[in-house]
Amino acid sequence: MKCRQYNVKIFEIGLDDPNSFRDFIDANLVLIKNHLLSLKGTLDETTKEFLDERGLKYVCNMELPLPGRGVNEFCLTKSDESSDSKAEESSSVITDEEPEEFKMDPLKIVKGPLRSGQYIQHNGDVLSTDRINSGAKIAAMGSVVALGKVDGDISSAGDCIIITPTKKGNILFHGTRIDGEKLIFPLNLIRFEGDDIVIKPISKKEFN
Amino acid sequence: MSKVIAVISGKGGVGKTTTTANIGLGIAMQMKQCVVVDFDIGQRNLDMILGLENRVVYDMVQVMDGEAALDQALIRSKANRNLHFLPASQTKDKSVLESAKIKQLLDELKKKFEYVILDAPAGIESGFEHTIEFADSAIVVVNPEVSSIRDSDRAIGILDSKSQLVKDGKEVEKKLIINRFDPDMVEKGEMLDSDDILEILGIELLGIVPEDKGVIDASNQGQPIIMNEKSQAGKAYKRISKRICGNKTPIVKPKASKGGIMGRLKGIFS
Repeated sequence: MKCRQYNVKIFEIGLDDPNSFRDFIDANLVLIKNHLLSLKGTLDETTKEFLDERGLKYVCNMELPLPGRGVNEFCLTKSDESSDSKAEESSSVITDEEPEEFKMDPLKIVKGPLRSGQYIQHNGDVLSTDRINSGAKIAAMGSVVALGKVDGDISSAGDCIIITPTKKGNILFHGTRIDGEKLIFPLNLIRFEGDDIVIKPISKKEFN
Repeated sequence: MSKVIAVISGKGGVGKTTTTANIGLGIAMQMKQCVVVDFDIGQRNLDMILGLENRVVYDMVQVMDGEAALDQALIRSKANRNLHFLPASQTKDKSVLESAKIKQLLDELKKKFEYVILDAPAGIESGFEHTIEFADSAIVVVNPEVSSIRDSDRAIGILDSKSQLVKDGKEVEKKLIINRFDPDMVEKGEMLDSDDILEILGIELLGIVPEDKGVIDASNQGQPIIMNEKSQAGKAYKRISKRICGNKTPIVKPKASKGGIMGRLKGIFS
């Protein structure tokens, strides 16, 4: 029997106002496209078609085994734009613009060592040229390339992670924890092949 | 030109106050006018390590509040006339510190002394932030253990974001002292080597102080270990103090003993 454990990010959203719901989904599609939606309320046919058209995965009115912690609330009204959520500071989660395509922020380059307690959250790709120390974290909606030693945390929802070997780092690719024992190459390329996450060597020459 | 140096660590109990006392005295031994300031408001210890606890009358908070003149609060060291000490308040807490008053105090101290050494409190709370706020440079004290290194790394990150120099677009000079280094444990693989620590923290090494049981007794006696000519830790602090004063003294890495009585005998006859 094959058994896998995944860390899944779930967005729990109310269906009280279908129009607001659809606006919210379109505005935040880049953030939620790779995550599971837990919908609360009545799912009408129009909304169902809307979700299916965008290829979103969802469950409706399911009791989730949430322990009551680690829940971030996203608000729909403009007056709540001043929320102190760090995700909202760095990536425009709430917008009036109609998103015709996914808008990712430009590449973020982290030049010095990322020290304990420092946290990079970026709606795009991240390139770290130096160490990522224990207690530091990079969370990117895009790919992450880490050329220095990684003892901290990396989370990527992008196309790939390129990383040096690490046994201390906590590496999450699309919510799935990557076993450090499998990062055996001088430079490891982590990406999807079909539904499977694969780790392949990448030469620095190839990388250049 | 006067220089304000903050001695920081992040983690408590790594030897920050002991280091402050020893390098303060070491700088004074180099014939430089030096003052050590205890910024650990409410948990004053530097007075005891310097053997000056019975001479404290006024403290820095009283000076900042205008209740005492700076000269009234400054205490001249018994060990060296070039060294002065400004005590922390023991009865108040860190919330009494205000940026403007600290700047004014440091400006006054800079007029009187070539080196102003600030002993930061442990942790990364407001007391720590006030200590690093107006520092020209920082000495980071670590023990060769992962928790100390991670906490120091955190403290360096805060230093690099919250000090006034950084806000003005400049860089704060940071140097590392590895304290309580035991080469025998390193050789056995039980302790991180200095190269590993330097790689993680990525700052310049100022010196390595070997583990020395005499340090505790010296602190208890109020006579910093640097006064002990035979102590290896004392010698290390002397070299560090010379480097702070601009002398090009080579860094000496403590070597492992040759193991047991037989090993030592072999060492003598080899």
